[in-house]
Amino acid sequence: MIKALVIKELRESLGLIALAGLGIAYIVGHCIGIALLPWKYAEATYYPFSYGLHIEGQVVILGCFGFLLGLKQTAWEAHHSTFYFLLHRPVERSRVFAVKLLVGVLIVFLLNALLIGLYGWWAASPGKHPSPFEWSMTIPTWKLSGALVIVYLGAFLSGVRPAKWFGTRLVPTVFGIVCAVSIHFSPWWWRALPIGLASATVLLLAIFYYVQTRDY
Amino acid sequence: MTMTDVIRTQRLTKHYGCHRVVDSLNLRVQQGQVYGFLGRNGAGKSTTIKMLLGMVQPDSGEAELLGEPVSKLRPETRERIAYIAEGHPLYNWMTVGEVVRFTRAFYSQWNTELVEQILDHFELSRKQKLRRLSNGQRAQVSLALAVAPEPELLILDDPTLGLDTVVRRDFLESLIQIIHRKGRTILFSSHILGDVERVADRIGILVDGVLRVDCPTDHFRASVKKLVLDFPGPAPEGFECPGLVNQWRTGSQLELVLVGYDDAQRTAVESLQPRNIEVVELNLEEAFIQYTRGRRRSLPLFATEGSDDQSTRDQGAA
Amino acid sequence: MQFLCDTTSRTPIYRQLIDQVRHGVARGKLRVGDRLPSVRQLSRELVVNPNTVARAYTELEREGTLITQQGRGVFVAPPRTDLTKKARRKQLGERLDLLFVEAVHLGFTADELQAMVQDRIGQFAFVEEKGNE
Repeated sequence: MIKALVIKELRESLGLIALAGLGIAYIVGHCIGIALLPWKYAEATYYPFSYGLHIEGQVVILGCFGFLLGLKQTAWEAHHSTFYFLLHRPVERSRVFAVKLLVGVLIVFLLNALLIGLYGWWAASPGKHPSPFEWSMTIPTWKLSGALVIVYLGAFLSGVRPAKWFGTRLVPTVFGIVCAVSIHFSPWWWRALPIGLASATVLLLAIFYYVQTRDY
Repeated sequence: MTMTDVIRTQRLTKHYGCHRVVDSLNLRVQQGQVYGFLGRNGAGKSTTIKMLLGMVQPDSGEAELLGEPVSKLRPETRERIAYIAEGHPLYNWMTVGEVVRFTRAFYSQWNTELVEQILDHFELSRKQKLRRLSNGQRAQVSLALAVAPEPELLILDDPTLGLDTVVRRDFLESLIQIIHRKGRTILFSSHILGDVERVADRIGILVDGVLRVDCPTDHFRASVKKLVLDFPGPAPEGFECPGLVNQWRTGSQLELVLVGYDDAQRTAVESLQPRNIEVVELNLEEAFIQYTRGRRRSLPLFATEGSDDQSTRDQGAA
Repeated sequence: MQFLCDTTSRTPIYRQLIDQVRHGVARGKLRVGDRLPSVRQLSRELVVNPNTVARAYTELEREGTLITQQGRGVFVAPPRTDLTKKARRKQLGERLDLLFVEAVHLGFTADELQAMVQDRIGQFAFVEEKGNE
């Protein structure tokens, strides 16, 4: 039954994954000098992973993806009343949501990895750009990937936490984004890591609390 | 009674804001009963059903299904309970075949033959997307999924809502087939009183979150009576007696709706000295309308199975 | 025999079934020894709760119209004559009087009434003459 749940979650996020895939293709293409949109010039990178579109692209495309995925897995089910169908299956409620979260986190992470991997693979192939390249140069983008997982968790909590007003509903999302920004801008791992772990713990605890106690 | 309670709630209460949607509900449904759960829109039927299944948390009180508190319902117990929520929610992107496969994955017991039978009977192709199904087909798929694990208890929230007459009849036929399986208990809410009369042994009526009626179906309709009194002069005003639900005066006529028509009420009515008293029987729908529309909180009507004689408890009258 | 069930009627469903069986027997659509559909069958056919059908059958059995033979089904019972001829005569006489009162008030002559009774007798299945009692 876990398999059935995993397949269901994957199938339901397929549309969003496809969109994110297009976004990733555009960013990577842009960074390596292939313009996917005919009316735009691609800027070939001189110093890969140092500056340029990839950070903004990652933030915009995959940040939005994490946000939408979090809502799709929760608010979308509530909107279609399918929670009544899903949560009456003979499994513990916490398991259903654990599967959702696991699949979600994995997808967000893998899409980030795809972006970094493709761009890094190009950068690592000789003769593409004039500057030297080390895989260690990708570390900030990996850190950003982790931060985007927090954005996803924030959106997920927004989806499961009941609130009367749209604005208060988004509080967890805003919290997630604030945490993600502070992780991204912390230059030292010993500051970024605790922020990440703490915010993830808080969000997960809140998610499992609301999931058990809210009215569907 | 040696029968076991399959559903039992004790002072179940729920507020939305400061509005009390369900008010100290004591509901008992015994094994093998087909219980029609009635009430006007917003009377708290859906909320009650959601509380029974743990989808809504009660503010106070308790609910038990199959002898287990709902808040601690184990998956093994949930497996023995089928629930169809209002509107037959299913994953629209799935095909009929996919939703069957998905649902089946959760159950240790699954009657494949029965599912095939229902799907074939309604000519549902496995490849059809649920999104493309009509309301009636959707209801049949959702019923097939509900009965496939051979549940002991079925809880259906207005399962015929939005179905046309023919499709509704199909659905009821399927439901009757389910009832034929001995020992199965069904609780269903409905707006269509004719359906309830066909299918339910017993009814409960919620009025503003309070269970006002809980008795065998025939007992209820036999208890609600309309009296038409003719007077030589103008009809008297301000008639009062226990169990009076409603009254209208039109010239020399006085119409009364009474609950639990008995000797005491007859004496009270006769003391008005009308020229003629006509007692009109009501069908279930008329009885329900009269009972729930009353200006005052109608006299509650409770009776246990088997005691067909009037056993109206006068608690909380007026 | 085709059974019907009308939920808009003010008569309870089990009552409707009882009336239909009694009519069926009286009009000869159901004969002594005819088998009735089982509770399950009829419940499915009419889309009503099996308990409702069972209740009608039980009531009919109690008044002697039907008889259940274990394992074989429900049958139309031979007419029961628990009451003495005198008592039955009295019962019918009372009903007849009601009919006469109605006929007089509706302005029928005795001949007209007799003709109507004669006309209708053929539509019902009366007990055959059994010689002397």
